[in-house]
Amino acid sequence: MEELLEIYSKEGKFLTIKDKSESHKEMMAEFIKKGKVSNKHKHSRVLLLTSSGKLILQKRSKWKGDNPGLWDKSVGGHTFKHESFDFTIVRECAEELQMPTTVVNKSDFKHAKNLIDLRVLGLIFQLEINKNDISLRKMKNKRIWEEPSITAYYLGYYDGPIRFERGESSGFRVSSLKEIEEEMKKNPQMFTKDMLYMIKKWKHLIKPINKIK
Amino acid sequence: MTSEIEIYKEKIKIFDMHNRFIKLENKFKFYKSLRREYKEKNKVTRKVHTIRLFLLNGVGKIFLSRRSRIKKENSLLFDKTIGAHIRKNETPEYTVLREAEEELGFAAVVLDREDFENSIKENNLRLFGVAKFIETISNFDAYYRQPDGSTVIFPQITSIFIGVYDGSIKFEDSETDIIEVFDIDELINELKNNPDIYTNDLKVLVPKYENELRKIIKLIEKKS
Repeated sequence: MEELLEIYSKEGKFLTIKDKSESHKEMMAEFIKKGKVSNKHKHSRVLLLTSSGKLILQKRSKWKGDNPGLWDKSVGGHTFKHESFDFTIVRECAEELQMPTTVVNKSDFKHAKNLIDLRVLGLIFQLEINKNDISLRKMKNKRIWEEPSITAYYLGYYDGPIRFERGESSGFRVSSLKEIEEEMKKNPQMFTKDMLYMIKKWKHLIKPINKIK
Repeated sequence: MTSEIEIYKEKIKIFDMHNRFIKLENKFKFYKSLRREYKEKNKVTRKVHTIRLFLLNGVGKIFLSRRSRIKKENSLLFDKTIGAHIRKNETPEYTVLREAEEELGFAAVVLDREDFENSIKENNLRLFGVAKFIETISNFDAYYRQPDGSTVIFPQITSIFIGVYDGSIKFEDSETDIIEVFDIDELINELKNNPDIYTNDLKVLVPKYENELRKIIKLIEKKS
């Protein structure tokens, strides 16, 4: 399937539309040649928690080109042409976890958390949009490359069932922040850089849903 | 979720070493006295009846559960998909059904060989799981790694099941902290190359049922 991405300059100016795999090939080629990447795409990423405040993490399958076999944030992906960041989250949760979700703004979230049965529907809100995001990714040959992007970050809650898509992830875990932090200290190489970044930045929000103000 | 109070109330079937049923006993109390017996005599004179389920997904990969750190025994080791004690008034088949619902949140049925194979071919296994009984091992050594690193061995009667399910799962965030799928070749290599993170159960039972698992995986692959 053709997947089209909006391409932006480093300064955030819209340039053109390109096929995802073609654009990635160009980015990698540029990185290998010059050690940097000059264009960027849009991404959306969500950290999912259970209502008790435990982190839901996915293990990227060994067959992925980037970050194979590492523990990663719950769900994330490219925001395609004509897609909103919010819609990317809804689509990726459905595709990767077969999980129904709704994305609401922060003030609606406070009301919605008392109405929605989290065993049936995931509830997600946006944390921020970082127009100058940099994601460090490990290639199959262990080399690290830096992917600049415009990225929207989200936090969400879900207590329902998941079905992990058969090629993308090879596993899921539900762990407390304390356990993950201990493991991150001992074995940081087991986690994606995105994951380390998100945990560090939004640690203060990783708590049970009834503690979110 | 099974609350702790329920766990302490749980009554299980106890057998003597000749597999004769003795009585029902509270699980917690039973293990306390069994450990005491093991400590004093380095062997035990009673055993329990358990089930072990190896579950395959819709592309024939094996689901393994990692035992969370709240488990005192075999903590943080990858294990078969489901293991459980047979309780009061239960058949092994019913225990499989109950545990599939409690531990992973899916509906399971146990079928005989022919129905099981037909179900893999014909049914939409995203809606429910099917399992088949393989055998009952009347003297299975269950290894339990203790928090201090030592291992105790308790013999059990255990009934082995293999199942297939392709739908959503929900794992309770207490007893299991990771669910991962493994390709059978990958798992056999892993058990050899990385034995410290897997339970003894897997090291013994995966090679033992490798042919059986491969036959079922072939059936699944034919369909997908």
